[in-house]
Amino acid sequence: MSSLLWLIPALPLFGFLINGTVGKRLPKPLVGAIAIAGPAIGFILAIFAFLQVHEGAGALATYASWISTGPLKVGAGLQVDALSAVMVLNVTGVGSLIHLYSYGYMVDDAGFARFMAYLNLFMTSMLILVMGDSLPLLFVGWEGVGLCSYLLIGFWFDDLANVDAGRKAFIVNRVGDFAFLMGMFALFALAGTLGYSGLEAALGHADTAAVLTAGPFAGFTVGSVLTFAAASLFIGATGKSAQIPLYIWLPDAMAGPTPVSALIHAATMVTAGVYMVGRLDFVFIQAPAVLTAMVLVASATALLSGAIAFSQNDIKKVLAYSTVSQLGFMFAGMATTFWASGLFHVLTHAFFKALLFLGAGAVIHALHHEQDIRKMGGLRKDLPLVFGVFLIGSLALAGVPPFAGFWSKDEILGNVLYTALEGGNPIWFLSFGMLVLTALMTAFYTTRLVVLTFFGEPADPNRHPHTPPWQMMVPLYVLAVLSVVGGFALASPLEHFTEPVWSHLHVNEEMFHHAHQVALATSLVAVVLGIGSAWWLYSSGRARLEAFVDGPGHLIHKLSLNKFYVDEIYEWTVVKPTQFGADLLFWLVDRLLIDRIVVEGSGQLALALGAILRRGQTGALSIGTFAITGGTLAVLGVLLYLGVAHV
Amino acid sequence: MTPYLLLSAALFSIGTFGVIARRNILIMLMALELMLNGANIALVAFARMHAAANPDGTSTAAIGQVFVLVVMAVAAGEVAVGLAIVISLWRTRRTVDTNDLQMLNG
Repeated sequence: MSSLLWLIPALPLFGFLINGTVGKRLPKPLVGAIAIAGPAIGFILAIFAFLQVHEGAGALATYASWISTGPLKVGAGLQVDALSAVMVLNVTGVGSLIHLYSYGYMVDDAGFARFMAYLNLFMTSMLILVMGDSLPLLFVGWEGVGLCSYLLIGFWFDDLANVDAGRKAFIVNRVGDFAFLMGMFALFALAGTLGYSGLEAALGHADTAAVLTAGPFAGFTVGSVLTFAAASLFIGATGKSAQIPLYIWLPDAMAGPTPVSALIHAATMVTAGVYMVGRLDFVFIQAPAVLTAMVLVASATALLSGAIAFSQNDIKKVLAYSTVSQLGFMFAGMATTFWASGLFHVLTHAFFKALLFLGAGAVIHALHHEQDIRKMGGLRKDLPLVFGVFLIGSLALAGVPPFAGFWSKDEILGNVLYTALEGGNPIWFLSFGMLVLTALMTAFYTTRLVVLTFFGEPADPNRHPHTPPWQMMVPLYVLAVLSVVGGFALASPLEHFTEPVWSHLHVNEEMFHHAHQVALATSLVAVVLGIGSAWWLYSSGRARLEAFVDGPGHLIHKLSLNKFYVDEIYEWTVVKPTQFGADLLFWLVDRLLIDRIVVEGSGQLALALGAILRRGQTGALSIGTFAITGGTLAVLGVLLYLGVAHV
Repeated sequence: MTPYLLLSAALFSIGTFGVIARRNILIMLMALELMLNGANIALVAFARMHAAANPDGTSTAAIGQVFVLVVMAVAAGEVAVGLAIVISLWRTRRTVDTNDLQMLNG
């Protein structure tokens, strides 16, 4: 198996090369087959790798030396352990389904081959990200998925808004990437290596109180450098995985085609940050301050984006903010150092959020690219099958037992409460409170989404929704099944399976049990309250809603509708000052100093000097010869005078 | 010794004056020949003066004369090229006066 590992990321790359070069001239079914074959075969190979890991033998293969300079040695190698195996299965499995779906969704688009090629390139990058055996390889994948995200958000590039959204995603991610690199450099300065095994050997049980005597961090303790590294890496993760303060790109990323939102901006790429935290668990566990900051940031993100999702009218925007919110849950799970619970939510979220996005895509497709939920309504009669699977996804997202989301969300809530009780830190209690509130909000906006889209009366009685093709429905069915059974079927096997990767913590069994019971009870109450209030508000026409919005809910509605003015705040605190600085530099340095003084100035200096010197160039032969003779005599005279030459 | 060097210096100076002062290219070329021959005389004079057998039996006496032969060969080539230029100048411009040949002014 180890010898075949490279095929998993390489197969989609072949697909990318074929479809990206000659795809436009190939028949569309062939393009689709080539594109789907890569992740599908990869999925089969991933199952074999998974089974091998299950038997206790991780797969590891180093193919070549990539960078070898001074103390830095990075190999081009792949590794599959329990964590990677789960991620690879998730990426290739959900990825294959979404590739199939994309065929149905995009086949009539002029850029179909280009679309499939980008998707395949994304698969390659994502697989390198989760399978690479060192941080630089992770970074290659990290940047690769960022590139594909940019390309796919701006896929319909003849609309400027889409292009702007792509750029926003790219630039915001760049901020996070800078911090990520800083963290990577700090780890290298500490450990002298960037491979995971080497890092873990060097830092796994570091003496955090030891003071460094050499290197860039001389004078600091190992613990403080680890904290710096963990904090930087987490800031990197806030970029890729859309947390405060860098989450603002993800809602705009919905400008891309819907399968992209499902694959990249819900199921796989945005969980890269969670994967990275789990991969470097030995770093984060030695930086408790960062973990506390992480849970606070994560729960605040969950709460804020959940509140924004309240009032969004674009079906994809609701799901996008919901994704940001659920990513907050994942990071909260990671912060508790019960790593498996974070990974569990990555998986279940991939199932039900991909299902919701693809279901939303089916609705959008059926209504000829209508995305405004106020113009939908009553679709449960027109698209009963889509309604069925969408309802399953919604129940999973809202956290209704026994659907997938309930299990993983409940696990995280319990772990957060346990950590709060064990440490007695008020921040953790606060985070738990925010997460419970978020659970309520999740149930609320999910119910609102389903009611407005599928219940009530059609907004436009003359519409003719067309049923999606089977390529779109089959992935929906598979994901719907996973969203039902994925929770209880995976809960304890996953924890057991990932035990070898993650250090086992000492747990106070009684308190742990107690915390989980309390969390279960509160989250169930929250879910019932959320669904109930949304149903009460939205199910019977607009009268109640308007009374609420004009009355007690006026402020929250206004804030939510305007996304808490975060984009505006960034506009005035970050974008405008940056633009002002850029303008200043442009006019003073570029235009004035470089263009006018250095470039044009040196040209004009040469012109002026030439105008003077050309007067000496008369063209008269006698003057030239006289000058040569006179010059020679003068040189001779000087030499004689100085005594260098003598008669 | 002195008379030879005086003759050499005189020839060289007359040649230099000719090159600077005359405007006819043919005359200038002839003056150039005078300069070369002035140098040649100095060379043979010094060669004669320092002619002496080295202690190991070899001799450096002929080096000056060899130089002169080289100068003569180069002078012959120079005259050939120079006259060719003069002829083509005459053909294109109908003049060999340097006052009329000032196209290279800046």
